[in-house]
Amino acid sequence: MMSPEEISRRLAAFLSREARSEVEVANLRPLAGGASRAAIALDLEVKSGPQAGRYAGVLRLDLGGKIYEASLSRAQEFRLLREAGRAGVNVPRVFWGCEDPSVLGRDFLILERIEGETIGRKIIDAKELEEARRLLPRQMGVQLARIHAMDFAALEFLPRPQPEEPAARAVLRRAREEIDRLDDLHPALEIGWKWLWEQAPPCPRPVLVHGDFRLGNLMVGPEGLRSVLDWEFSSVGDPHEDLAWPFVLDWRFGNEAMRFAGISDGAGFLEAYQKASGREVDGRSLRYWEILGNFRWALGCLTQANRHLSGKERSVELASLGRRAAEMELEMMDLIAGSESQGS
Amino acid sequence: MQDRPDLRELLECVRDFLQNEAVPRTSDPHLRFRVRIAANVLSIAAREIELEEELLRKERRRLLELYPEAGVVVPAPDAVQELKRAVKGLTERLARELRSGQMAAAPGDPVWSHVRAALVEKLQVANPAWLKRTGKNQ
Repeated sequence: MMSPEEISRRLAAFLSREARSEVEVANLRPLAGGASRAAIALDLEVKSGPQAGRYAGVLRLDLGGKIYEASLSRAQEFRLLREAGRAGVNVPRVFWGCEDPSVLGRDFLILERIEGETIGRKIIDAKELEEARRLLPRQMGVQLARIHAMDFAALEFLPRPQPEEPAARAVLRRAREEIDRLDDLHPALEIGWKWLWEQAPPCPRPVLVHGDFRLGNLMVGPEGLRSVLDWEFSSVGDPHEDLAWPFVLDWRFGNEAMRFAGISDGAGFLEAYQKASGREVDGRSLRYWEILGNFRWALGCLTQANRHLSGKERSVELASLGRRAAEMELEMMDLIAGSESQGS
Repeated sequence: MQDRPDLRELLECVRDFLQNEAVPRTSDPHLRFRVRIAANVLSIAAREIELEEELLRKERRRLLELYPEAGVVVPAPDAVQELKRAVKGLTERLARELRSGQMAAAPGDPVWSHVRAALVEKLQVANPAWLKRTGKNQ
């Protein structure tokens, strides 16, 4: 990656053209980012013109690869974030976006910087976030209801199921392609794929799905949820996909006994969602999507390890994920066994 | 035959160095996070050296119960590499047959039990603490 000085210099030149003004870029410092993107805090000052002013921003810069092939481009995410903001979802404002590789070599967005904690483990442990942990389940339910009410007609780029097709099968068709790109064969994934394909529940009313709605992709302060981040895996699909995702074992961040995100039993979350959305949560679909969630995250681990193994992006973090897939596969098999013995 | 430290001891000494000396002196939180991962990767490698052969033999025994005729072709491989090749071959066959429907797996049946046991064995190397914490080591 470029040095902070180089990024500052190039960004200042780009923004001067965009804002038709002298622009100062200062105080670059890396923040906790995801595996596929870097996040760098920066302060901007546009000296004149209609956009004049000071901006506390965060630069979201693409890294080498993608976790899932279906992830959105920066321009698409830009439009999605604007739409989410209009729909009353707590999201950072989008200041600028760029897909011209001559600027930083990678696509990027400059978003409003919202302070807070995004590291799941810390949200679960931090003393000063105790009240936040009490408030979060209901706040997450309300935010998710707003996301699922978003109008996606104009967001034609979002992947979506065929008419009459269960949304889960659209997800599984994409997953099949990813399994086939792996070097090794995985019996547990084959068992899971088959079961999930056969059991796919109908989805009569598809919604805009965030696609990665969990602690770790939320900005959290002492008063709870400040902002919903990381929209790159959005699609049109089954609302239970988002509802079940924070229940997935790994997203309890080591606090496994608390089934919902490691912070509660989930009753408040589901109740708040139902109340705010007017939608019924279907228990069977919720269990199904938790299983699919584990399947997907197992596959995600293998796909990310492959980014390292293929030489696309050498990283000890990505490499180590290859040995974590078995956790998700094992949980998936145990959940399937549990659901079979319940006879549902 | 090499002098000591042996392979496992080499890995463990680098792991301890990372954990006990590098981590506390690393102020960049991202770098510290990755140094911790690197230390953990070495722990995985050390456990694999310890357990690899035993786990491969168990896995092969179960695979031969699913594919008895395979044991006739390669009776009892001595070398770990040979053992690994045999297990890999049968695992790939199982995956392909599960996909095609030639083999099926339902909770509690031999195929299911084998695949689950293989996952537990992977995690005995990769993350035994997780197995214990979640009670999935059974």
